[in-house]
This record gives sequence, structure tokens and C-alpha cells, in this order.
Amino acid sequence: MSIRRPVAIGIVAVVAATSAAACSSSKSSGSGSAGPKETLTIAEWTNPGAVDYTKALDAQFEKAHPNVKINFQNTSTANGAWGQLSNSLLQSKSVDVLAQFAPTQKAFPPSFTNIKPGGPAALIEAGQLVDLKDQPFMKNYDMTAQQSAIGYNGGVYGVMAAEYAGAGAIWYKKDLLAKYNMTVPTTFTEFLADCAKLKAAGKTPIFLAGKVGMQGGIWQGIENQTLMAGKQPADSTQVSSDRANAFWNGTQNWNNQAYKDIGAKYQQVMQYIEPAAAGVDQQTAPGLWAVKSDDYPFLLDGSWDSSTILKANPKLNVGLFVLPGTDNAADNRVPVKPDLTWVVPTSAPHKDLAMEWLTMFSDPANYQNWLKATGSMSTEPSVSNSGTSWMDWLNQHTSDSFVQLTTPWIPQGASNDAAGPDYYKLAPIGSDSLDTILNRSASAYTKSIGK
Amino acid sequence: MSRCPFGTSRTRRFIPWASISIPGIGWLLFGLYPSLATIVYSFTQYSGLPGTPVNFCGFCNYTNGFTALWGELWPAIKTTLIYVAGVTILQNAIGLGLAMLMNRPGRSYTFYRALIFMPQIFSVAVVGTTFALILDPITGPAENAWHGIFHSTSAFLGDNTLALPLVMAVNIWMFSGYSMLIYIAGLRNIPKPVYEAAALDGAGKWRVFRHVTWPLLAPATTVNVFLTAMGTLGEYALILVLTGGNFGTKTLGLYMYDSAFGSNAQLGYGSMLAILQFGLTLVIGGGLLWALRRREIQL
Amino acid sequence: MSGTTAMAALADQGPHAPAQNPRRQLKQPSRVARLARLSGRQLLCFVIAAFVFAAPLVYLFLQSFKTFTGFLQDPTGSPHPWTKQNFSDAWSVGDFGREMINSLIYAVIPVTITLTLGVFLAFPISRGWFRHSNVLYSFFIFSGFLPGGLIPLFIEARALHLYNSMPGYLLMVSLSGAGFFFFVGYIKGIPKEIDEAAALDGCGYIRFIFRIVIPQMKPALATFAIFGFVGSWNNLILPLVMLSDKSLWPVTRGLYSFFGENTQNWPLIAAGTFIVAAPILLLFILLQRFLVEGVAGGAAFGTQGVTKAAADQGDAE
Repeated sequence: MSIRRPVAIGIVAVVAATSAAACSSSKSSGSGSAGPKETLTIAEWTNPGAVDYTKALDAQFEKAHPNVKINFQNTSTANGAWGQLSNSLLQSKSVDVLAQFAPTQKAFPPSFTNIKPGGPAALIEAGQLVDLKDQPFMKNYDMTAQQSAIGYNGGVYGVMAAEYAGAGAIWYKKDLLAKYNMTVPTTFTEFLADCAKLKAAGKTPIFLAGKVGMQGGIWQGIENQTLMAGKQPADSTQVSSDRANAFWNGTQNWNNQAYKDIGAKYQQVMQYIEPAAAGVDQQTAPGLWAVKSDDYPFLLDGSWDSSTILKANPKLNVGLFVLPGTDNAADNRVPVKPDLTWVVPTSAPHKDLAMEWLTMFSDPANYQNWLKATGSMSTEPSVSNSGTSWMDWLNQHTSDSFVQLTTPWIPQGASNDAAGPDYYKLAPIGSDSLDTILNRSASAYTKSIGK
Repeated sequence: MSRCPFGTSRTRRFIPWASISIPGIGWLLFGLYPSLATIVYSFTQYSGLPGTPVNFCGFCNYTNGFTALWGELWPAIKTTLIYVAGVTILQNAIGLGLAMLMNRPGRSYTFYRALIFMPQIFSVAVVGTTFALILDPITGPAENAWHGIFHSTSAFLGDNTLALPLVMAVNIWMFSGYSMLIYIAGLRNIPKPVYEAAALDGAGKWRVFRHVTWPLLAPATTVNVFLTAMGTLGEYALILVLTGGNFGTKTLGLYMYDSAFGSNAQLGYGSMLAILQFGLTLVIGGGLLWALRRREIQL
Repeated sequence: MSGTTAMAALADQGPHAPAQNPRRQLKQPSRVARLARLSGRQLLCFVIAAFVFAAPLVYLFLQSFKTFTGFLQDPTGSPHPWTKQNFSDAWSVGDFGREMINSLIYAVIPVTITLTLGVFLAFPISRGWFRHSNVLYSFFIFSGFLPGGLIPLFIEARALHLYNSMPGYLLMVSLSGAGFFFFVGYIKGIPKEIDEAAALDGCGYIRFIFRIVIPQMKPALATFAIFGFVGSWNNLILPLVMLSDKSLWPVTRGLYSFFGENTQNWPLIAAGTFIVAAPILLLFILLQRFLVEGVAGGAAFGTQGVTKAAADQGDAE
């Protein structure tokens, strides 16, 4: 067999490589253990801007603390990889600063519901996270926002460091709008009229990644502004819990007229999207949209994708606004979603270093760079914004923004439909009618609470 | 039971046990134990998060699945059955066709066989990336072809009727080289004189295939059908990468993965689904083997 | 348990010598007609292999020579301008060099141990040296279909101090592969007389396995080795969960982070993907002739065992 020789060579090569590896790795670990170094472990899910920034901050921290080495871990949220990683880090009691999605108050249903918290809320309830309320660096943050994001029984169990305009957030091409003499629409009717005008001009008004369900943003944007109409921004937590109670008591449900109206508006907007949007992945959407500078005036995507858009087409003149969901311009405010929250597990091996790292992170100058890198809105009152040009509209609308409403309490083991409409199945992306979808959600909810 | 001929009369009895001890203990520790623990978890309400309580709840996950969540469970089972049947039948037909075509001596055929076999050495992530690019409805070459033929647009993996067939096609693309190899192995085990006798009888190509090749390939068919069915029954990684389980592609395996590790992780419920899948595997695998062996004997 | 015995019989093809291609002598058409038919078939085979099976991967490969903006402006066309920048960028950004060496260790050592131990496990069972060898065999095979349990495995690894350590990881992956039970059928094809002759000559059991049995099983072992290597190389979830130190990561783990950090830069992703796939591609090219022979020799049934075991480690919960 002529194959023998190459195989033999291959095996020799492999063996040589492994033995060489063994030598080199033992050497490197030898030099690593030279000083009495301490390792601070920090982990977050992968968001390119956030990861780049965290790496830079880690380098700064290592410089300030010469005997500390930072072990920075990150992985994509896709395919459950992040969940696996954070879980194993917690389980092994080896992580000092860990990113979590802000649980918000919805995660702590009142005791009469008998619902056990899940996710980070379960960790808090089980005493697995350190209360950061009295840490000096917390003074830099707006405590009400922190309380609502990750507060529990008077304690604050993390630093909510990023919040995004997500629901109904729309990127737009400023030059394209100017070409058709349009300004950022302030009412729902105006938005639809703009879309119709753009469509008549041969453009496809809205681009979005339907394959990952981005269309849900349209619904949520309209829903948030509709339910918050006439309320103070600070009331949003109350509005959320009032709705949750009403659902729990059976006085409200998904098939009420309010949701039918929201759904009707949703479908009106959806007629202006790219026809094949259902197959577009979020992996391609922002870049593709940015490059097609003469079409697709609007992109439905959160403010977190700023770095990708600007990288794909640095010359593009872009801005971001929030879909006006009602016809009263004053009610069309920005719903903001609490997102990345740093927590310190009680099992952290280096709590003091973790606090020092968070102190450095919270420093207003550093925090400003964090905002620039991530596209997040500020959670520190002393840092108003990142100063980037695409944030102009958002900056004007930050003061009356409100915390995005949360869904009703859903008991464990409930069907996913109970949490609201399934945007994949709802027409035009899916084939089910609005009534079918809402009735399905309503009966799933009713079933889940056993009434 | 035969006896071990090695060793002295004293050590003879222990050699078989010694031989299997290390791999056996390893398998108990790292293979069987985690599986048994999964069975235990299926009777609990547990989020899987460290430090959070594990509440035993008897058959709660099972009753919940078959009552309140039947609307989710049943479509998943249905999709799984369609997926398994479709992939098994098509992948075998294609594998057999390729084997008939490619079972030739010569370097060029070795090269072709290697190309056909190649996709499966890549990880699911690579294959997923590749087809996400090709099937992108705005920028992919598939869109150009579709537009040329039908003069319309399609969302491909985001289309409720196309998504499942497309995922199945990618699965078949990835693994039909394997089926081909098994069929080639089968073809090579058919003794030459059988064909010579058939040629003497003046049998045409189709008749030779129908009455000689196909029956004599029965063992290879059995192996192939069984392996494809078992392999696809648990499939979820490829689907996860291609559609995330949306647009009618959520199989039982993916549903389990979603439940155990998704955004609202319920390890208990996910473990129950894993047990359900084990049951389905036993029933389908056992049934297939029984049917295939009977067929082999009859042929 | 008739199903299991059926499976045992299935795998029991033994190391037959592959028969020659049977159909060449069926008819004796004229040379010209034969040549024409031959080249027609050649062409068809080429088209199928190249345009159906290789083209998608070539398409991905081509993307890696585009610039990010070049890709966005013309995703389906050929690269213009051509650039090799992505490969050097991916190499330096992804830090694949050191990770490749780790991956080699994680692939070569467990595969070697798994295969060797597999022969030791399969031999006595195959020879029927236990009172209930068949029952044992059935039990092993059916347990292979049990759901995996990543979380229990993780908790166990922590308790045994195998977490975040290279030897620990190697121990775990070397011992958990259940695939080796499928050697049982293959070994049945090796005549029993050899055992007795060897034992009479005073050959010890361990020496017998290494010197006589293993050489007999070469095609099967080679096939297993390829699948095992590919499975370990592509494994993602287990290293993600079990190895926390960056210096211990295999290349897939690094690739995954790299994917996440450059989600939308397809050309860069394509380049990284191919860098990581290059070693298995190379191995495949070196060993691919064994595949056909190994499968023809009856290893088919077993290969699935190894891949399945590897996949279970990799994907299942």
C-alpha cells in the first residue's frame, strides 16, 4: 500500500508536534508562575464593542495592579454557548466579575403567584450574588434605575452598565430621508405616510433580520408607547406590575382589544418590509443595510449595532430614532431596555479585586468610552452621552425615556405562547392571522395560571 | 461461554476481568453515571443554575408535557418523524446512487469519493455558516438562481414551507458520502461469479440491479438505514445553526436543547424530553432492526 | 434482545479481502464505445462531486479572499481585489497557533487511548469469555442511546478535580467514549485458533493484543481514528464547559469567540474557519483511502460509534 509512508510521516509529525507542545507549554507555565500573581476572572457574552472595550480596560487594570493577571472569558450567546460558560464558571466558583442580563422586577413575582424566580433572579434569591448597594462606586449610578434592574429586598445585586433603545428602534439613512424632504417622523400616521412615499419612489422602506425575530421590535415599540400613553416615565415599573396583576386576576388577556389594535398597527408597518426579510440573518443585516446606501432607508435594529454599521460603511450618514407608535407625538417616547449587568458571585475568589475593577469601570471617563464602544445609553447621571453623531435624536429624547415594560408573570412550565404573540408565526412572516395568534396566547396564558 | 486460553491456571480467571476493568470503570464514571443522573433530573423542577434548589416533583414534567405543553410537544414529535423519515429515505437513495456511480477503480474516482465524503469532516458550525451565506435571500447565490427560475423572491430558511426541506437537504448533503461508502463496501462484498451468472442469463442492467445487486446489498442497506435513522433522531445542532428551530423546524432534539439551555432554562423539563427521545429512539431503532432483519432473511 | 444480536451480526463482517469490482467484465463493447461511456461517466461523477459536494465549501473559501467592504458590495462575485489579509488577521486575532497544539493533544491522545482500551474491552466480550457476554454487549450498546448529561458530568468533574486541567480533560474524554463496543463484531472475524496457538507458544495476553490483534484490525482502527480525530477536533461544548484557562483552550473554542467578536465580517470568519479546518483536511487527504477500505472491512458500524460518542460529548446536554 502506497499510503503507508505518508501515514507514518503524518503520525511522526503529530507525535513530534505534541511532544514539542508539551515542552513549550511546560516552559511557559513555568515562567508564568514566577511572581506571586493573582488571577482575576471576568466573563461576558460576546458583543464586539463591549469585548474590545473590556479588553482595553483589563490592560489598564493590569497596568495599575502589576501583580494581577486578568483572565477574560467571552463567548457568543448563540447556540447556548454563553449559558454553558457562565454556568460552569459559577459552578466552579472561579469567576469574580460576571455579566448577566438585568433580571428586572418581573423576575421577582409576588409570593401569592408561587412562581419561583429563574435566571439571575434565582441566583439572587439563593444568595449567590454579592449585594453591591453600599459600594462607593455605586454612587456614580442612578440608583432608581439600578433598583429596578437588579434590586431585590432593598439590596442591589449588580451594576446595570448598559441599557439600549431596543423596542421599535430604527436606524435611518439621513441623506436618503433628506432627498425625499423628510424629517424623522413623530406620529404613527406620519411614519406610515413616509413609508408609502418611499415605496412609491421605488424603495423598499424597511430592512430587518426576520430569521432571528427582529420584527418583534415593531410590536414591542408600539405596545410600550401605547400602554405608557399619558403616564410619567417613572411609572413604567408600576404600569408593568399593574398589567401583570390584571393578567393574573384574569381581567386582562392577550386577546383584549388593546392588543388587537397594536397587532393591526404592527401589520400595517410590516407591509413595508423587505419581502424576503424572514430569511435575513442578523449576522448580515446591519452590514448589508449600511452598504446599500441608496435603498432601505430604515433598519429595524437596536442601538447596540452601531459599531458594525459604521464599520461596514464609514461614510454613511446615519441616525437612530424610535418608531412612533401612536398618533400623539408626546406619547412616542423611547422605551429603554436594561441589558448588561455586572455581578459579583459570593463564591468569587477575589472579591476585593473585583470591586476595584468595578470602581475603575465606573469611573466617568472610562464609562464614557464604554458608551461609545457599545452604543448603550448612559446609566450614570454625570455622563450624559457618548458624544457620537448618530445619537443626536436619541440624546434629545433621553430625558423622557422610560424603562421598557415587562411581560406578565409566567409560571414555570408554561407554553412559550403564554408570554405573548409568536412573531415567527404571525403573518406576514408566518401564516397565522392576528386573531389566531392572540387567542392562542390568551388560552396558553389562562391555562398556565390554572384558571 | 468459552474459556480464556491465556495466563496460568491461577490467573486465567482474572484476565478477562482485568482486560475490561479500566475501560469499563471509565465508562461507568463518565458515560453511564451522567446519563442516569439525567433520568433523576427529569423528575425535578430545577433551573440548572448552581446554588439554586432542586425540587423533586414526581412526574410533573411528564404530565405537563402531555397536557399543558402538548401543543408544543406534539409538533416537535411530528417534525422529528418527518425529518427522520425524509432524511433516511433520501440519503439512502442518494447514497446508493452515488455508490453505483462511484464504485470504480482509478485515482479520479478515489478523488470524487473523497470530495463527496468531505463535508462531514467539517464541524456543524462551518456547514451552517456556509449555507447561511448561500441561502441568504438578499446576497446568496441561491437567490440569483431562484430569481432566474421563478422570477420571484424567497426567504429560503425563513420560509415556513421551504425551511424544513432545506435543512433536511443540508443534512443529506453533509452525510450522504457516509451512506455511499457503506454501500460501496456492500457492493464490494458481492462475489463476482453472481454477476457472471446473471450476465450469462442475458439479464439487462435494471434486472441485474433489481434481482442481484439490491437483494445482495441487504446487509449494507440495513446498516445504512439504521444508522441514518438513529443519527438523525437526535439531530439538533445543524438545525440550531441553520434556523434556530423556527419556521417549522423544531425537532424533539432541538426542543430539548431549548428547554434545557435556552433563555428560560428548565433543566428538569429538558431532561424529561431527553428521556422521551431515548424512548422514541428505542422504539424506532428496535422496530427498524426487526423489520430490516426480516427483510434480509426473506430476500 | 434479538435486536442486539442482530446488530452484532450486522457488524460481523470481519476483515474480508475486498472483492474486485465485479461489473467490468459483464460485456465487451468496442473500445471506442467504452471510452465514450467511460468519459461520460467520468464527467458525470466529476460534476456531481465538484458542483454538488465541493462547491459550497469552495464558495465559502473564496469569500475569505475578499475585503469586508468588497464582500458587502458583491457577495456572490469573485473577490476583487484579492486579499490574503484575512488569513493573517484571523491567525493573529484568533491566536490559533497555540490552540492548534492543544487541539492536537486533545485529539491524538484520547483517540489513541480510546482505541487501545476499546480493543481490550471488546476482545473478551467478543470471545465470549464471560458467562453472559451477549447480555453485557447488549447493555453496552443500548446504553449508547441514553441521553448524555453534561451538567452531572460537570459536577462530577469538579468533585474529581478534573475541571480546568489538561490531564483531567484528557482522562475524561479518553475514558468516556462508548464507541469501542463496536469492535466486538470485527474481532469475531479474527479466527479463534490464533488465540490458542499464541497461548500455547507462551505469548502473554497483553503482548498478544498488541502484537497480533491490533495489527489485524488496522483498517478498522484507521477508520475509527479518522472519525475520532475529527470528532475531538470539532468538539466545542465540552472544552467550553470544562476548560476555563485560555492556555488550555482547543482551537474550536478560540474560533467560537472569534466568530462572536467578528459576527458580521464574513470574509474574516471564512478565513478563520479554514485555518481551523486545515489540519483535519490534511489528515483526511492523507488517510482517505483507508476510509473506503476500513468501511469495506466492516468498520462501518463502528465508526458511527466513535462519532456518536464524540458527538455526545460535544453536543448533547
